[in-house]
Amino acid sequence: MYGGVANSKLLYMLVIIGLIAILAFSFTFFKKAYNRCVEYGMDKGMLKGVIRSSLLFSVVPSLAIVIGLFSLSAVFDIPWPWWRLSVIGSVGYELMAGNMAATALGGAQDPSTFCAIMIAMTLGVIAWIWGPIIFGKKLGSGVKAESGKNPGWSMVLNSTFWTTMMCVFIPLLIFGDPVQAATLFTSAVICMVLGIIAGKMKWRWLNECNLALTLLLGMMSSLIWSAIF
Amino acid sequence: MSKKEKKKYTLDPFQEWSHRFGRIGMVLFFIYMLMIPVIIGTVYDCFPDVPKLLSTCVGIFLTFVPIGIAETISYTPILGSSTYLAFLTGNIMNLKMPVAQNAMKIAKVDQGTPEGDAISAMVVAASSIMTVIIIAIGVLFIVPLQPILTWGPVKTATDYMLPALFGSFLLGFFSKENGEYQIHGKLKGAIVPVILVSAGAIAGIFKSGMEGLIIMIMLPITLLGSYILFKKGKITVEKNPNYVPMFQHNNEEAAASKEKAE
Repeated sequence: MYGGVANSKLLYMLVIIGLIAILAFSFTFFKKAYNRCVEYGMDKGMLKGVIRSSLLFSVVPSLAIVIGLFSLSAVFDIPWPWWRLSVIGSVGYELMAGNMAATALGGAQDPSTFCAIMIAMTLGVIAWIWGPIIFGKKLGSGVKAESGKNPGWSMVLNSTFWTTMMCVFIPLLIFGDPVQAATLFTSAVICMVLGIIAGKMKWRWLNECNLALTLLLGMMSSLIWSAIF
Repeated sequence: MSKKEKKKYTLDPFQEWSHRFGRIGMVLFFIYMLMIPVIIGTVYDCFPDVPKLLSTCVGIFLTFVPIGIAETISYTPILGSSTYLAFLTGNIMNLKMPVAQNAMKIAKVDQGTPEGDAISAMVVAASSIMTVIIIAIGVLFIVPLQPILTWGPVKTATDYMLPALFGSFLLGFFSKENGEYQIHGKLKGAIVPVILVSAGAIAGIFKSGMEGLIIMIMLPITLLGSYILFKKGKITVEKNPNYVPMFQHNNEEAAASKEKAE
């Protein structure tokens, strides 16, 4: 594929070095944040539960990313999709960007086409890199600065971003197609039922697993809804 | 109050560190990302000519840059200190945002507070490590895993991951916060954007894939509406009467910096 460049040892090596750096970066963040939480007086047992819950939840979406990796690897071999899906990209965008780049180049399979695709896909995510670099601190401090001036409004302001996101995603999902809508409502019911059971039985573990279980069962329900609609 | 003073009062040491470390890290990773095609192009003597490069870049650039800017503006205030890591490792909507929200819910801390920031950063980092490992396992076992993960029902189920995820958020959205403070009437601020997005979705103007851009259009509307309602007393913030803290401040420095930040 692409004259062997897409599957070259050099590309594998560059990807693995980059991923080790990403792991080191993530681990540094994790350690620093964990220590900060402990400094705040958060119970280590509770923190472990939160971490366990997050890791458990991360499995299912990560498997979806692996599926995206299989799709992309059919077009670009393994190392490049491996890199792209581990850094910056989300499955949807990568599949779209890869498809756009390949189409723009007329499906040519020479090494220079592959190099052009790599550059294009890297520059395509420039906003996701430079956006946080330029606006990250300003946006974060701007919202937090409000807390000094008007604590009440600051709470509302903070919640507004999440509210807006829900206001956008929920109608789009509901009016998108009936399977989406049914899956969404099923998932909401599952989440509520699991929450009630966890509360009644005082099962902390179920509370921690609620999101992961809801996601899994909600996704499984889509199979039933797909067969009905 | 000068801008400098305001910053001093609003960010705690961890938040300051995360902004500095995150920015430097992102710049370095961006350079490394660009270096990969440059090294490959140089070693294999396959650097594309400019017209070929431009023909590939323009479409992608024009499509993704507005989405990237919109997502930065929309998601950064929610992610706080974990913004850099979340953006660097991607999959924000389907992975990083849910783990951050879930962690704050379990720990009973409020979004936008120094504690909320620290716990979000911790779980976003843990989730990033987990994802990198799972993708690596997927690469190692690509031959036996491919038929299982690309099996029809598995593929269908993963296509509906986003609605399943948002279903789990729905209850939290309608119920009151379980942190130290509760916002009463916050859904009133959501009425106008919900009507507008629903109308746009029914009319076929707003489609999935445009979420980032739609959020950017709706954000000022929600903000303005919420502000007016807050000023009129229709949206209020009160102490949560059922609040049971999951932790006690045991570190004077941390407590002091929290006070300072608040």
